[in-house]
Amino acid sequence: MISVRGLEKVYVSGGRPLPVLRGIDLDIADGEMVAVVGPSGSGKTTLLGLLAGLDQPTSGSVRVDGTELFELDEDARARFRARNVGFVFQSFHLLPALTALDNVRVPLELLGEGGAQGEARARALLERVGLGERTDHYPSQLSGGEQQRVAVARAFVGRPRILFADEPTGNLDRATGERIVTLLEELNREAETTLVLVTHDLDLAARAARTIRLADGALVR
Amino acid sequence: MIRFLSTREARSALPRMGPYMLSISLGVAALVSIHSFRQDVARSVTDEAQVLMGADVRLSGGSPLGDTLRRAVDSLRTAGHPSGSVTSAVSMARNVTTDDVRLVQLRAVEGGWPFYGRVDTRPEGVWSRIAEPGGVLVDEALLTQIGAEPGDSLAIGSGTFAILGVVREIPTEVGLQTAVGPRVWMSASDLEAADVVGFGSLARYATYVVMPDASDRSALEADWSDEMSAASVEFATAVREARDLTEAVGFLGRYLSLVGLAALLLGGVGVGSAIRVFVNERLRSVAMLRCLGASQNQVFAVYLLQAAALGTLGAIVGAIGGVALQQALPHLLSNLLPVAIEPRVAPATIAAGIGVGVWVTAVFALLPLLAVRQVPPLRALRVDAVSAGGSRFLRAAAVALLALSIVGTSVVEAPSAMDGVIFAVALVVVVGVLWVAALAGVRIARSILPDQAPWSVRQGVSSLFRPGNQTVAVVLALGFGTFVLGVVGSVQANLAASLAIDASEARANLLLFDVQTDQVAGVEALFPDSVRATVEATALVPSRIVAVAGVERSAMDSLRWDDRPAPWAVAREYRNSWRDELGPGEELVAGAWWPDAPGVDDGVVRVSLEEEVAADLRVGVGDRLAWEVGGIRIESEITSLRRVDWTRFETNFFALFEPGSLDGLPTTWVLLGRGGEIEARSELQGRIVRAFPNVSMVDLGRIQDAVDRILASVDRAIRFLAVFAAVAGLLVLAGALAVTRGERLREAALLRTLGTDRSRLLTILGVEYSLLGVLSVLVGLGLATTASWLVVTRLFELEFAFGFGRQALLAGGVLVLTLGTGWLGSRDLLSNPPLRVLREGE
Ligand SMILES: Nc1ncnc2c1ncn2[C@@H]1O[C@H](COP(=O)(O)OP(=O)(O)O)[C@@H](O)[C@H]1O
Ligand SMILES: [Mg+2]
Repeated sequence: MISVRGLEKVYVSGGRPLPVLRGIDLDIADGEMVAVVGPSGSGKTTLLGLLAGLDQPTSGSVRVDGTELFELDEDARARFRARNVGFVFQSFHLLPALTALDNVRVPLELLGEGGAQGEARARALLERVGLGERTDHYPSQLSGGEQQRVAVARAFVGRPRILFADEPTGNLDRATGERIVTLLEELNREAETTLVLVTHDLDLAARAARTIRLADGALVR
Repeated sequence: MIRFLSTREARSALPRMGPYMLSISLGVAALVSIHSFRQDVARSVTDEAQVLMGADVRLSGGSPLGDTLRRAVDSLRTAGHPSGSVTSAVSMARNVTTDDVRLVQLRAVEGGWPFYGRVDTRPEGVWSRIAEPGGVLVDEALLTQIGAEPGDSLAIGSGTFAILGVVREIPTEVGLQTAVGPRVWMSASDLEAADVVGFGSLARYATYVVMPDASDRSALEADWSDEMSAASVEFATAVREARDLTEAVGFLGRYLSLVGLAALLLGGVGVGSAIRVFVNERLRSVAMLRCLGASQNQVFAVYLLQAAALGTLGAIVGAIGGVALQQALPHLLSNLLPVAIEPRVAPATIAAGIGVGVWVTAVFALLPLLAVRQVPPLRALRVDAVSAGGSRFLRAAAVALLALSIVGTSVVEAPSAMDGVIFAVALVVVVGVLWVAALAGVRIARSILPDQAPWSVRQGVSSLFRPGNQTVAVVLALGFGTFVLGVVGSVQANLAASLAIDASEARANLLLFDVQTDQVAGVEALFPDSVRATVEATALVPSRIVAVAGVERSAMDSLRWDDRPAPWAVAREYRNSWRDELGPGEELVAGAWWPDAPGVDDGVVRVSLEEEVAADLRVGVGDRLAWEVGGIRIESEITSLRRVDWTRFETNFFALFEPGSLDGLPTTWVLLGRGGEIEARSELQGRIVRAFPNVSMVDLGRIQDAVDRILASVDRAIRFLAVFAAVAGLLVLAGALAVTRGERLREAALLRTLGTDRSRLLTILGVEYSLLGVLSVLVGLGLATTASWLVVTRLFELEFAFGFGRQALLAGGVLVLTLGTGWLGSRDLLSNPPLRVLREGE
């Protein structure tokens, strides 16, 4: 259960304060699939980053299962992410020096579950996203859609309790995007993961149980 | 369009390419400063040539001028060419009040020398008073060494002299000449009164002539050359001596400029790899430009222009630095230089330096820039569009141009064309080995890394394979820097070790000469009982060659060129000796040693020659040599040849006679002994000089100090430049980091997002840099050891010592620098919020 209270984020740019989030209150239940929509620049990525503890808020709190994220130090938050959180980004963000298989194995390695079992699980997930034949390929040898499927496999491999996806289809054509979201949905259902999906595609958002609308740094009901 | 784009893009490229450009600057700075400095030295020395000699011409030799030459000089004087003379001898000087003694160099001056320049004395203007009988001027150092002051009395030989004042500066005499001992300036008649120039003493007689016109000088040399060579008189002109002096500095300078060139080329390698990454990042823009209708040549020109512009900027910065350094070099090399060097800005040298800098930048940028030509316009639409195959011809042309440029610049900078080619080849070998080692090393590291190794270690190793990785550039930079420092340090240490006279107890540290035959026992008796056994007395029989293999000296000119003995070997003054047994540094290479040596006719004595002088005299075992000793002609037959290790600290001789065969001939003795610590040594010297005023002593410990000071000066210059190469290496390293910064930031942010904590990120970075560092250090040191071994054993023909401690220090230093630079360049990887970086990637 994620619970957000009074979350504010003010960037200072050019010496002037720029409020991006103006007091967000929000609860997301375990296993829920939530879509966050809103125009570009409305603060969706900022919110997602704060939910995952990737940045410090100006004020407010984010509790995950009762743990206040911003009372942890940077390393504790990193360990928290390794154990609990998976990510899918708009621009894939794979490690270019690693093969598809090794990219998928990274989260397991961080959990100390590398080994043969981990490798088998990584392979199985690559199989599951339809890339069983491409395990030894490097990101540069994969198309955008394929890279994003590797990213999806990586996001799920550590059995995260929460999965954040920031416009995962933004760089893909419609059909490929469809496929990715379907994958996310299926895996989400199988693993009972909480899924927070940022998108500005309202059709995609409609597939979520709940849609949160952001405008100008505030929630719109 | 080309100008518009190149200027816009260059602005964004500057911050990232800056460090690389600075390494170009370093190379240019080194070249500009060294070349300017060489010109400064040449100009200053030539300007000062007459002052350095004190005249225009010098006739000098081991005995006073003979009558014919004497008369010739006298007639020149009446023809308007003033002349004077300086007789030099060594002797002991004793402070009459304190009894302190010191070996001094006597300079008996006559006839108004020096004719050029002025002698700075204290009190001012007392130089002319040395003509007064009984009055001398001394070097400042003597006063402190024997605790004297102007006005005190000095006992020299059998005379006593008043110190009139101090010679603070006399522009003549340079280098090691003053290392033997402080000088005492006196008149010729005082020298006679002191009576120290006895038989066998090492006096030199020089006659100086004012003759500013070059044609007069050549006429003088030509007219009297026969007389001079017959009398072993050396003819020297101020101009020629000045040229010789600058040649030595120029030679050192040329070697130093090679180090500068190495720094520059290293910068070039850095530029090449930076351009490669830069181009990779710009592929999209290039594709876009091509879509908009730019031609292959236009986009190529846009980027080549940028590289050249950055190179020009770097070279200009370097030239400014070089001019600044030029002002500093005279101070650095002050012990080596005979005259004050006045730095002068040399526009041509600066222009040449900038030119070389820009050229090196452009040539090294060429190969990676060719990739720009091959970017397909489709790339703008699809990232995975494949590059068109490049033109092989263009690539081959670029490689050829690069190779030509390296060889060309090396040949221009090196002391000789051959050295240049060797340098270029060595450079290519070093770079090639490092290159291969970089590629192979990381691959080997990856393949032998066990799967069970911690993930962060494995991740660190695979970071070396990231796209646009700078593995090769970093290993080249670090390895090359290590190589240069390693070679310089190792060669330096090995040379210094071979030049050092071991001052420890086991070695003799006191050299006594001019000891007469009847004084040897008396002098030995003055040594304390404990060390008397160490005193070794060696006879010296001053001799001249009068005939070689039956040919008299006067008849040698008619011999065929390749049969004619080398003039130096015939004309030199030999100080021969006799010996029972071969010395430890000697080895018989032909004939037999006495008593087994071949028998000879009556009236002929047996002699053993050193092999090289025998070769120059064109003689071998069985040939005869005739000598003149104190007016007596001695016939000798060569019965053996010896190889002598001259680097050993022992008295050795070109010609050794059979013991007994020179008995009764005029002989002086050299005694070599241990005088203990410096105080005991001084006290002993005092006792000896009071008992035997004619005996001279050299305190070898003090000489070693003087040699050390000069070596230190050369050492400073070389180290100074080695530091250049090393800093250039560091800059390339920093540049490699700057170029891969974006990629690193993104990776670190991603890893942190996925849950990597600080310590693991640090491990990853640590593994990456340690691997690069260890690889570079191992290969760099390996190459350095090979190269310095070659230089030391082949070029200098000395023993090679590895110097484990020094190498370990260097290795440790480079590793610390690598990890330090890596850590400094990565601090913000750990502190930036990951979100910002991930957002930038969108
Ligand atoms: N580091 C930053 N400094 C200043 N402003 C920022 C920074 N990061 C984001 N912003 C601003 O915050 C606003 C919200 O950004 P973002 O959360 O990325 O919006 P969205 O994801 O909804 O498009 C934007 O106006 C953006 O310009
Ligand atoms: Mg966004």
